[in-house]
Parts: sequence; C-alpha cells; structure tokens
Amino acid sequence: MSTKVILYVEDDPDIQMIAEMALEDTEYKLHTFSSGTDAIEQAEKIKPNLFLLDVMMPEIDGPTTLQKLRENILFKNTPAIFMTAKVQPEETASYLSLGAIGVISKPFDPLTLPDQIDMILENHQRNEN
Amino acid sequence: MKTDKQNKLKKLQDKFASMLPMKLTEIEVLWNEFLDNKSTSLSLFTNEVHKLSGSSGSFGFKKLGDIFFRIEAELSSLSLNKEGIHHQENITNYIKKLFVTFESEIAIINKNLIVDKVKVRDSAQASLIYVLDDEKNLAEDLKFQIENYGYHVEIFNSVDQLKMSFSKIIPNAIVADIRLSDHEVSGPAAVIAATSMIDEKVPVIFISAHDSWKDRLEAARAGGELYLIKPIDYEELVNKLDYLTGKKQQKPYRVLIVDDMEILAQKHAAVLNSAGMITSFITSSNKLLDEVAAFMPDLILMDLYMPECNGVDAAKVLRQHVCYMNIPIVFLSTENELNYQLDALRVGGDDFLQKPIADAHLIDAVSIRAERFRRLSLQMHCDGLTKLLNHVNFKMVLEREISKAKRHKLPLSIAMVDVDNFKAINDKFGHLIGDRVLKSIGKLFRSILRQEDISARYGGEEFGIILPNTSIDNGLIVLENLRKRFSDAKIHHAEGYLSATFSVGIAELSPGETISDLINHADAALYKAKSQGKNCIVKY
Repeated sequence: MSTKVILYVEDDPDIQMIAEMALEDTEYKLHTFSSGTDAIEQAEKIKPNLFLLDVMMPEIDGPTTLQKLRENILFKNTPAIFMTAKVQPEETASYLSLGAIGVISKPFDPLTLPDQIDMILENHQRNEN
Repeated sequence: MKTDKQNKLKKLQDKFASMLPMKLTEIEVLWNEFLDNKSTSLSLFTNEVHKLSGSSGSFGFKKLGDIFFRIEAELSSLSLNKEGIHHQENITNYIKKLFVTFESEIAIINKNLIVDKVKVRDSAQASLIYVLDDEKNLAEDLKFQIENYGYHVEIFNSVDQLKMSFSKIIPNAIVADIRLSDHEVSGPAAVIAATSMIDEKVPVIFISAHDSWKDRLEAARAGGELYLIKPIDYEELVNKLDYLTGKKQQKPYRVLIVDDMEILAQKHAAVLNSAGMITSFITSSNKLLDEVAAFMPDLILMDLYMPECNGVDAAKVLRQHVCYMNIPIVFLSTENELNYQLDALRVGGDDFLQKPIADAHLIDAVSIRAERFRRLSLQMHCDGLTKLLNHVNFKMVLEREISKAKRHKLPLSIAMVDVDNFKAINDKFGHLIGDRVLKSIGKLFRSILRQEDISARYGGEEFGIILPNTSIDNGLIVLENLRKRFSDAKIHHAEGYLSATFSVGIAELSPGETISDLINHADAALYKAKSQGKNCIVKY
C-alpha cells in the first residue's frame, strides 16, 4: 500500500478536524490548508499525489484553486476530488469536466471517508487502464 | 465493541455537540436582527448556516444538518427575491425547530451521557399540558407536581391567554379550574371557547373546591373526563393524564419467527416490525433453544412443517423446559396439514394461522396473544401495590443483567432505596396512607426511569433499581433526580398533603463480583445514607 499524500483544502475547522481523524492510520496522509491561497503556496513542498478540495470557500473556491494548482506542471495530472454539499447529477458532471475524478458529498460519514476515497481512486484507475 | 477510532470520533462529536447550543443561539440572534431591520446583511448568517449544513451530519446530527440545508435553500430563493415573505417565514419556522431537533438528536447519540440520563424523554416528546387557573399558588403547585412525572406544563391565568396559546400550539390535555374568580366566564365555558377553535379533541380535567351538581354538569358538558375536588390528589390526576395522553407504558412485543424459508421469515418480520414489534428469526429449529434464551421473545411464530424438524416436535422440546411452558406459540400452516393442527394444539401450540396470511390478521393475532402472555407474566412477576417487579423476579432479572454486562463489558449499577421513617408515617397516618406513599414511589420510578431500567419492590418499604449500561456516577445523577422529585411530591390524605423522603445506596458492578456482592455493597451504602441523616444518596 503506497502512501497517498493528500493536499486538503477546507475552511471549516470542525470539518478539518473530523477529516483528519477519519484518515488517521490509513494510507492517506493529509496536509490541511484553510484556504486555496495557502495550499497553492505550499503545494510543491508537500508533493501531493491527490487533491481533496472543498468547493464553497470564502476567498477562492475549490474549482478555482484546482485551476491554479494545475498551472504548475508538476500537478497538471494530479487527480482531484471535490467535497461539496450540493450533489445534483448536473453539478457532479460539471465538476468532472473541471478535471475532478470524483465528488464526495457533505456532510460525510467520517467512518467511511477512507473507503469513499478508495472507491473513487479505484474507479479512476479502471478508467485509465 | 468500540475501536480506538470510534472513541476518538466520539470525543470530536461531543466537542461539536457542546458548541452547538451557542451556535444555534447565534443563528437565531442573527436571523432576528435581520427580521428587525431588513437592510442588515445576511452574509454572516448565510455563512454560519452553510458551515453547519455541511458539518452537522458528520458529527452525528443528521436531522439538524437537514434543517440547515433547507434553510440554505430558502436563503438562495430569498436572495433572488428579497421580498419573498414566505421564504422568510419558512426560515423562521425552521429556526424554531433547531433546538428541539438538537435535543432529540443528542439524546439518541449520547446514550451514556448525563444529558440522556436526567431527561425522562426528549423534550420533543414530553406531553404538553395547559393549566387554566388564576389562583397562583395552586397553579404553581399543579405545574410542579405534574412536571414531576415528566410532563411539560404551561400555566394560564385567563381565558384570553389560553385562547391565544391554543391557536399556536395545541396541548395534549387541559387541566382547568371550574371557577375563575376574576372573570365571568367560568372554567368550562373557557375550555369550550378555546377548544371550539380547533378540530382536534383535547381531553380536559376539571378541578373544583365544590362538589355541586351544577358545576359537575357544566364540566361534563364541556367534555370533562375527570372532576377532582380540592385538595387535589395529584396521583389520581397524573394517572388520568397518563391515560388521556395515551402514554405508552409498554415495551414493544418481541416475536421470534421460525421458518425454513428465509424469505418468508423476513416478510413476516417486516410486517410485525411495521406494527412496532421487535423481531428475530431463525430458519432451523435446532437453534430454537439458544435463540429463545438469547432473544427472550414474548411469542414464537412457527412454521408447522419444516424439513428437518416439524413445528409440533419443536414445540414439544420447548415445553420440556419449565421456564418456556407458557410462551405462546402460534403455528403457521397450510390447509393440507389440518390433522397436524389438532396435534399441535395438544402439545401446547396456542393458535393456527393459515398461510398465506393477510398482514393485518398476522399483526392482530400476534398482538392479542402477546398481550395476554404479558399480562399473565406481570401478575406472576410484579408486586400488586406498586406495579413494580417483585423481590424474586428482581433477583432473577439482576442475574441476567449481570451476565449481559459481563459479556458486553458494559457498566452496571444498582440502587437500593428505602423510605425514611416509614413506620412513623404508618403510625401517624395509617397503613392506607403508607401504601399510598409506596404506590407513589412505584409510579415515580415507572414514569421517570428509562425503558431499559428495571425497578422493583424489594421489601416492605425497600426498593431496588437496576441501571444497565450505567456507571455509578451517572447512576448518582439519575437517583438524585428521583430523590428530589419524590421529596417534592405531595401525597394526598384526608386532611391535606404529606411529604416523604427516601435514602439511597448505589453500587457499581466490579469485575469478578457476584450478585450477592453487588446487593450487599448497595445495602451497605444505603445503611450509611440512613446514618448520615437520610434523604440522601451514598455511593459504595
């Protein structure tokens, strides 16, 4: 099981805490940022291989954060997962078109969060192969 | 079994839950500011709502999260149409539901927390009683004594006040004085004025200082279900309220289904579940004895013809055991097995139901038999005066609870309760009143304790309470609540009211302890409580 380093952006501290706890002792190593700007600044340092981004955030939102991250060639193809409260099919489609490989709906069940991420990644692998 | 992760999660949930009341209040305040001055910006409000909408569910508050989600939807409609009055009204209504939903969810989440212990039932479920009386002291007394048994009471001093509240929230019952001294409108007329505003029937109890024919007639015409003369017998009042508000006294029926066709067993289970029964099923009769011991059903629903062992033989084996001699067994059979049916009755089956069976018929047949069995059991197992378990059964149940606690590694506490100065009460007021004191303790325990808690009359004036899944400290909180309520209760007698108190000793089950150890420890603590001045609780 290779470790997955996740760049996680979420502005709500409560949700940050519970996500961190949910992914403790799993193969996912979380690096949490409260804003897209901070994340973009630190991204190269932590060398993530997965982005986990909240959609609705005060300064720059999830999709914009992803766009800016992708401007760096290192992260052109890094898979991204969005976290959002709205999960209508049309919206999921729009997130996928922005380059996300999946969407996790909020509120999420902390006990199954690692499994949800697993499933999205597996699906993505299958599509790639 | 809780993993390390689940414990950590619980800590986070608790922390979140402890912050919620403040956040909910903030949300209410922000919204009210907007309602007062429409030019106030809603951006802070919207942000707070959005955050809670996205996080509540992760912390176990799904219903609360749903309400926030709906408020968000209304907010987005509102932003498109600033004048949208009905969106504003919807938001106001949702906000009103926040605290009640919070309390009901937290009660469900935190079964071990203090909050759940002290609450009788979550406030969303407590029956609401309106008291109409302008005699202030009496009204306060009524409120206090009725609330002692887990109700929520609102006092009204005038007809207009009553009518106004009636139009907003309809109570489960009304207690009204026949005479309202300051007004011409008498009690019955006031009640009619209020209840005529709505379609629903609200039960009414009247209280009066007089026993006149005229007053009783007016009370009857106004739909009075009971007419009590002052000074009021609070126990009689609360008993009637329990009856009128349909307070559920019963635990749901437990039915064990035995059918080799799993899909049929599941169907029957689903039908009975929909009627509020708890079910379990097995598909082969060789598991019957184990399952009956573990599940403790009130009734067994058994297929008559099963490949390995037919229903008749299975029933015979069951009835070989003394303790299962009386559990009702209802057989399901098809027409071809008519001869079997007679055999089955002979070995102790109780009824036949023909397959395929209509859902309603199944529910009725099972309910009637389960009810009868329960009533019989109660007679055998309960003390007639207090309606609590009797001494022998208390010990049997305690043995069972101790095994369960050891098996699941859950805490178990017991409390031994003894009425203070009972001999003096009997000597001064007579044995009938002494009995009444005991009855009121029985009633208090049954009203306030949780479904899982078991209370018994242990001796003449001694009671025992088993608190499963409860630590000694949580037990202390429960018993303190009971102690206070009992010391405040006014017990009715010929010349007025008397008050009484009890002393309590609590002990928690330690590893390796037996039932005698546990009872002895609680008794020792009780002894200490008596010597420490009574009307108090001592931990072992």
